[in-house]
Parts: sequence; structure tokens; C-alpha cells
Amino acid sequence: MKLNWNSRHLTRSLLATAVAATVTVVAPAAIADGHGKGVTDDMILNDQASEEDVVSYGLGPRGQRFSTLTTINSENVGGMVPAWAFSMGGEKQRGQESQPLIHDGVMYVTGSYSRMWAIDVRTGEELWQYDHRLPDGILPCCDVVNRGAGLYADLVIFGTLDAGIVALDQKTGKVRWKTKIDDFKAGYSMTAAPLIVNGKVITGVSGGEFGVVGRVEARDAMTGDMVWQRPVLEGHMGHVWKDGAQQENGITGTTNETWPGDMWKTGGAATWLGGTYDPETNLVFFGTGNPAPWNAYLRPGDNLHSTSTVAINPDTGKIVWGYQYTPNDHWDYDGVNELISFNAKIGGEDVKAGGHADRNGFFYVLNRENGKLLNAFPFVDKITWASGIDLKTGRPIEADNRPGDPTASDDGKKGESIFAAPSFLGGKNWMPMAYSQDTGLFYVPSNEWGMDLWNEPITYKKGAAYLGAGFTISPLNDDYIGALRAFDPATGEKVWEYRNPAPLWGGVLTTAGNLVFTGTPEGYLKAFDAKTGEELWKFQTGSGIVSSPVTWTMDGEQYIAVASGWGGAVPLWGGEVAKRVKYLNQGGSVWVFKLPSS
Amino acid sequence: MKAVRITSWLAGLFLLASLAIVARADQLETISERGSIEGAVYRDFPPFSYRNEKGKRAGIDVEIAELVAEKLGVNLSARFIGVDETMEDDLRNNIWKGHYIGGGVADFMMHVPYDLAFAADNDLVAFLAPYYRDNLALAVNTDSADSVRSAEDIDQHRVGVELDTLADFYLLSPRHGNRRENVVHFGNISEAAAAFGRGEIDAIAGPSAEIQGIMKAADRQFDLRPLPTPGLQNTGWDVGLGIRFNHKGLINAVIAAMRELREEGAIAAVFDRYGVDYREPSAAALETGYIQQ
Repeated sequence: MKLNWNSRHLTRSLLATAVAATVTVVAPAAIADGHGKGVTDDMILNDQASEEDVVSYGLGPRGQRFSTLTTINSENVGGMVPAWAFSMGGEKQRGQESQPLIHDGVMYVTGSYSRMWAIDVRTGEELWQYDHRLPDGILPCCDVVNRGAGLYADLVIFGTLDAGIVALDQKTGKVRWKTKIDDFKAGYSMTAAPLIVNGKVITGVSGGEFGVVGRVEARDAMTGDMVWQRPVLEGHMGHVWKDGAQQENGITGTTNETWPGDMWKTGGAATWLGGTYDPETNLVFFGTGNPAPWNAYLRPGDNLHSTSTVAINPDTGKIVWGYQYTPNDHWDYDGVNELISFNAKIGGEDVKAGGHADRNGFFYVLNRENGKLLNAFPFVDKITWASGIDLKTGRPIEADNRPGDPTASDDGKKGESIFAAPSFLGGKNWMPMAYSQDTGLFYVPSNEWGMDLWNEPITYKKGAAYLGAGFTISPLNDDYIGALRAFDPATGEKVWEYRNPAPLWGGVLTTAGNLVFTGTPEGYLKAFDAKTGEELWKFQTGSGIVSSPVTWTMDGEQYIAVASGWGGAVPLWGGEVAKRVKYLNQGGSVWVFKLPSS
Repeated sequence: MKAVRITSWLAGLFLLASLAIVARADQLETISERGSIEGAVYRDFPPFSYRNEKGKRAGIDVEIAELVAEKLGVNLSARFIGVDETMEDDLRNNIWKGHYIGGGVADFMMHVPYDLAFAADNDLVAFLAPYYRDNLALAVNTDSADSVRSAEDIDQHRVGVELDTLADFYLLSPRHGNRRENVVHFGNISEAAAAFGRGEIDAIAGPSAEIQGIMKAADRQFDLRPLPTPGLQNTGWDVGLGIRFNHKGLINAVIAAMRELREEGAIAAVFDRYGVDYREPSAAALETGYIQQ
């Protein structure tokens, strides 16, 4: 099934107009046309405004996680009840971080261990299940999660723990194409939901600290054939494929400008969380991880584009701009978190802006046309590594809070321990925030924690002596770690806050019904008043929620769905924090809610 | 032998619990019944553990593990493992807990550091039977870089290292910062040896036994020298085996087997077959022979 070029371009320009006007309700006829004929580019671009489906990660490529639906609203949400629940079954549980997709009466949801289900969304009955065969010797670093799939034409596409991409037939669950991103033995993996833009599947790579270099890749959504590949670190050559032949497409940045020696060749910056797309500027935005090796003294310089957002033209595979959050990172503050496109008045001017809440504790508002910083403010209470972000230069005002150099002390003793906040799990981790076109606020799932960080002169790797770093994560407060906060991006004002005992690890959804939804590790899906933060409704799902809720309408009723299943990085890495969440039980299910039928 | 410290009644309870497990059935019985013992060795790690051109398992660690199995009267089932970020991770994945992806644990693991301080942080593993001592070394091309004897001498020369290793960090450290441009990174020592053969680098820095075994197998001409590393605490290290702490019968049997192998000269002979100079573990390590918290 090929795309309709004319209608795609037409819709894009229509959409651009609509976005600029900050509309609340749009129901183009194109959606109805697409119904039953497979998922088109138009449908993906229109996902946020279309009410009857969720065909993309983030409810639209901009990732706002904002729905125009108002049937369920702050007046009546208190009466919401379960419609059905679905078990992900088997002995395989662990973290369920998936965002469900809904199209044509079917829910597509991925699960831990690279599994996927198609579910009849009216009854909750399973239509098919796909179990990806994982090879022996696979060593995923950070739990066996998957964050969701992408729909295109009659395909459902998702990434696997052995660093592959699989496209399944929506009807049968049979493999239509599959491809390898890279060698899982070299530490590569794929946990993010793919971004689908104009017929291309656009993905990053997951990888540990073993010199995996971050890159963004575009493939033909119908065949899996490579279209372009863009490494995010300076010095690396990008490529495009024309008629199956690989051609050079220019080097990223300037070799050795911000990296010494040959270290850019293995400098990390994994793009493991995927990206967002803005049709207005025709840019995809990918966040990049921390640079390697971990010891910043060994790689003097900014180390571009690590800990950054890079904006790439999806037609050319070239970087248009990059903005770096933590130059010469020494705290493991990945810059992978999403950049959400939004249009608002910042500093008195209407701007095409992008919002990003970084691991490092600062919320950044960028001009998404050129990457210039417009505003930056802390979204967590305690930040020790920098006192602020200089709005003129766009650079952090660093405090004296770096760990000592482990190779510098002549006696080779354990380096001095420093305390840094946020911890490397971040003021905000992978879990996507939401932006309401209705309230103009960002809803940020954040955590208040810090870390002790020191050098370990007596440590080992692969049986040989090694210079490691030790760390312990600890909560900053006795009564809570997680905090869902509403921020005005123009002023940095915190409008409201909800505090949660366990760290928040799930995504946020906001609706024009004056609602904000998020899940907690304690197992609750909760609804809040979008303007005041008042808790209006909660439901216990039986295991921790570390996934992103969605909403849609069907047969005249509005539905909310969320995956439940405790896991992810916190129980693996959490130090003192892990002790607070030890009692939480694993699970694996999808819950769907609605108002009682009248 | 480092004494088992009982610092509280709670630790005593744990000890009782572990003794109860021993009394029921030791892992040694299970191994005898199944007729094979599973030994974890690193994958693609010549000269210690790898598959040769014919796909057959080979290497110093593999052969020593086979000898241990022979002494116990069972077959060796080799588990080739991937490298995680730190040794603690490898021990958790392969000895005391198993990786959450599945697959369980092995009965013992080769190439485990034998170090009191390290052992103190890994109390679910018994560290035993140190079988050699390693250190950082330089393999030098004497035609192009005979003058290179330390990190201070590398100004005009290109030195290959394996990415993310002690040699890598030491040569890149700010004290040698002006020589940073001369450090060339490789995914492993085999790749560095190939570049050495092509004349692209003048020297390789890394663990002595690994460099020597790989360079000899590749038939390179080189001079092997210790790499002096003032400022580093841990430049020589003993290597032994690891077994889950509660498998007392197995631990004792492996200690006895390894002692016999060492006394028979079998261990030194294995190193010799792979062209690696055998260096005895430190006197202190040999004296203790077993560490468990």
C-alpha cells in the first residue's frame, strides 16, 4: 500500500495552520477516509486531533500527549470504572512501559521481553500474540522493557531487545519484514517506540557504556530498507541510500572540535529513547545520551552532540541544529528526554517552541526552528551541579560539584565522595511529560533524589583491574520521591504539585476535559484537575504503573487505557531508593476505563 | 584464610540457614549426578577463552576448567558469557543470581579477581584457587619505538589500547594529557594486534598475558615490557575462580583440584601451550587460597 502524496502535503499545510491557531477540536474528513484502509501519514500527523484512534507514540508526532476529548472531564471522572483488563500472562513479567495504540477496533500493545498483542478493543479478547525469539547471550542493561509500537499502512512496527526492528501484519501478527539495527553482542538494544514520519521509520539505538555511538536512522516503513543514517557525534560520516547503494552524506560537526584524539569514535551518546517530529518545521528531534568514558577528565571539551537534542531534517538526514544540556557531562545526565513541540508566547513573542525536562533537573524552552534557548528553570527542588542556565549563552553556570579525577591522586586512594543532585536517574527519566494546549502548562513527572559519587581504585572489569566509579542513590525527602508538577513554560512558575511516595516512572496524559492522568509504582492510575492538581480519581491496577496512558472514543464513549507492570530501572539501580520500593509486586496487564453506560 | 566474621546474631542466623542448605544437598552432589559441571568463561577472549577456527572451545581458562572437571570426574559444560559493565555484574549474572533475561547461573566462573577488598563487596561469592598473576604491560615494536618504556615516552608514538580499560584510562589521564592524541582505541586487543601488524601503531598497552598470547598467536615480533604506572594502586592482580558462597562441598573440591593441578605443574603447562609466560599468584594470595566474607 503506497501513500497518497498529494493529500499528505495538503494535510501538512492545513495542519500547520491549525496548530498555529491552537485549535481545540479538529475532525478532518481525511480521518474517516483512512478508516479501514490502513494507517496513512495524514492519520499519523492528525493523531492528536483525531478522536477515534491512537496511531502513534505520544498521541501525535509532536509528543504532546494532549487529547481534545472532553466526554470524561473533571466533573465526572470520579465515576470512571474499568471496562476490561487483559493479562500479559506467562512467567514473563518485569516492567511494562508500553503505550497502547488503538486503530480500527484493535489495540496493539507491546510488553516486556519483546512481546506484542493485538486485542479486540471492545471485548478485551486477544486476537493474536507475537513472541520475539530472543537469542542466547543477550545482555540488556536496563530491564527488558518496550515502550510501544508504531502503525503504518497495514503494519505494526516495534523494536526488539536484540537490537532489531520487526514489522508485523496488523491482521495476523505474522512477520512482514524484520531488520537488525546492530549487533546485540556489542551491547546494542532497542526499547523505544519507533517514530514514523512520511513513510519512514525513524529510530535511535540503545546501548550501554561500551563505546556504542548514538545515531538516528530512517528506514522505509513498508520494506525496512535503509534510507539514511546520521551519527550524532562530531567526526562521524552520515550516509544516505539511493537505489540500495550507500552514499556519503557529510560529516557530523567538525572533527576534534570538542573531543580529543580518537575518542569521538567511541564516544557514546546513545539515542535510546527515540524522537519526536514537528510537521511545522519539518524536523525530527532526538535526545542523546551521556558521553563515554564516564570519567570526564579523560575527554576535555564539550563532547558534542552528547547530552543534547539534535534536530534532523527527515528528508535529508542532516542535522539542522543541536542544543547541549550538560557540556562535558560527569554525572551521567543523559540528554535523551523528549522535546515536545508547542506554540506559545514566550518573552512576549509568539514562538515555535520546544519543551524539554532534562535528567539534570532543568526545564529548557528552545526555539525549535534554530535551537536557541528561550527560557530555562529548575523543575526539581535540589540541583547541585549548576546554579542556573545562562540565557544569553545557553550554557550552564556550573557549581564546583564534579567528582575528583581517579587517575590524578598519587596515592591512588579512594577519591573524595561528592553528593550530586539530581541522581543519574534524573530529575525526570524516560517517562514522557505532557503539554496541554488548553491550560498552556507542562505536566512533568519528576523525582527528588540525589547520589553520592566516588571513584573506586580497586575494582575490576572482565577479570582485570579497572578504575570504576561508585554511586548510591538516595531520596532527598522522607515522605516522597516522585512529584508530578505543572509548569508554565513562559515564566517557570510551578502551578501545582502532586507528591508520591515512590518515584514516578510512568508517562502523563492530559485532556481538554481539564484532566491529567498518570500512574504510580504503588499501582494506581490517577486523575488530577489540570488547573489545580486536585486528585479526582484513582484506581488500583494490581501492579506498579510505569507506562503511558492513552485515550480515544469508540461507539460514542471515551476510553482511557494504561499498561500495568512494575519494573524498569529503579529496582535495578535504585540504591537506597530500591529499598523503598522493594515491596512492590510485578505484574503484566492492560486496563481500560470508561464512564458507566447511561 | 580470611575468617568468616559473625558481627551480629543476624549474620549467625544466615550462617545457620546456609549450613542447613549444605546439609540437605550440596551442589557437588548435583554435579556428580548430572555428570557435568558448568563453568563460565568470557566469550571471544583469547588466549583465555574463545572458539578456534574449527569452532572448538579453546584457551587457557577453558583448558584449566576442563582439568578441574576431570579431577571431579565429570565433563565440562562451558558457558561463554558476555561482559557486563563491571565484574560485580558478571558475578551476579553468572554465579549468585543469574541475569533477569533467564538462563540461571553456572557452577563456577574462571578469571575472577582474587582480592580481599573486592571480595569484601561481593559477599555472595567465594573467591578461591588463585592460579596466576597479571599486570599491565607494553608490547613494543622495537624497530619503530624501542625507546618506549613508560607512559612518559610515548610522545612520538602511537599506542593502542582496548576501549574502557585500565590502560586506556591511565594513558588518557590528565597527567599524560598532552599525549592523549597518541592513544588509539580498539574494541579488543586482537584488533590492536592487527593494527600493530600493519604498522599503524607502535605499541599496545594492556594486560600482560592477554597481549602476549594474542601477539604470539598472530606471530608478531614485539618486546613485552611491564608498564610502570605510578599513582595507580592496582597494577598487578591475582586471578582465581568464583563459586556461589553456599556451595561448600563444591568449593572444597575445586580448591583441592586446583591445588593438585598447580603442584603437578599442569597449570603452568597450559599457559606454556598458549605462549604466555606463567606468573605465579602473589605469595599472599597463595597463602590464603580462599576468601569468603
